[in-house]
Amino acid sequence: MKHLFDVNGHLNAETVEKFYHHALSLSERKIVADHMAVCPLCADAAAFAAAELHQTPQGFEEQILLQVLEKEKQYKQNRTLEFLFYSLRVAAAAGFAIALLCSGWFHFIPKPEHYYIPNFTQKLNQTLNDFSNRLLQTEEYKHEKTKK
Amino acid sequence: MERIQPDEFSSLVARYKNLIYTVCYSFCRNPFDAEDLAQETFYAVFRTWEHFDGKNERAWITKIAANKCRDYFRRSEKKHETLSPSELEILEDPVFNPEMAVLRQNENERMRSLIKKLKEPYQTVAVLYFLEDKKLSDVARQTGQKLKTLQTQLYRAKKALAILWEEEISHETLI
Repeated sequence: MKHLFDVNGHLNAETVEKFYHHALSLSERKIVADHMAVCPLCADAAAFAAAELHQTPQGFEEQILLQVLEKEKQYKQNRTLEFLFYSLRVAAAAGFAIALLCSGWFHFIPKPEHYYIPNFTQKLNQTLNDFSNRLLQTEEYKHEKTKK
Repeated sequence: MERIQPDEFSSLVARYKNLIYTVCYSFCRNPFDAEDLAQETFYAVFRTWEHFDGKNERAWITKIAANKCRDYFRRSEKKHETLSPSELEILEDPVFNPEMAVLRQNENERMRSLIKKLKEPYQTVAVLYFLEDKKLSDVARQTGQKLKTLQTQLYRAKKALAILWEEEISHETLI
């Protein structure tokens, strides 16, 4: 099908003319469609070369606008439904996880008190106490030293 | 680009509808399929407007039309469409009329003869839309019928006519 293209790999003028005169075979039209779908230069050249345009029915524009409105409405409804189902799935998974934790199903896992898990608040208090005691001791020592 | 506004889209359709229809018709050679493909093209333009680089509107829309026609050819390869039982219901009983063969000299006549094969109310809505060039909203207003009903009737009529058109073309090719 090289006869459809010029040396640069674009549709030649004869091909475009035959295209609009319905003189291309089905296989040739398929090749033209494959090429025009990816080549903006040839798409533009073909658009430019369209001399006699077929007239659409008067109601055509209205049909497009109605169809777009209908499809957009369906698209938004589908998106809302998808989001709703997603939320339900997340809520169900979270609820299931909480139910499992509270059910005691994990009783075979050893209880936390068998392990030493330092209480963060207690440790912080202990650290602060130690620090303040050392401060006091240091001050007492200084005071004793000064007294001497 | 941002999402296209309704006014802008409407103006774009008015500007390019005949071009895109002509391109689609040149590909598929079936006026009913061409109309569907052109409508699909404009819907794709509407959905993907944000991806348009703003350089050449005409080339971009024509590329989308070619893409739709490419998909159309691929779909056609996979199945040979014939009228389903529900679609056959909307056709009149066939009556052989040798005069009709003579009358099919151009596409309008061919369209007219195919539309006559439809039962009511599909024949009326097809005549009004394709032959008398009426908008469905005007027909709805005049007749008091619901627009949605007319759209459904037109959709079914168009689907049957597209298949009848293909059958006739194939038949003529074989003769």
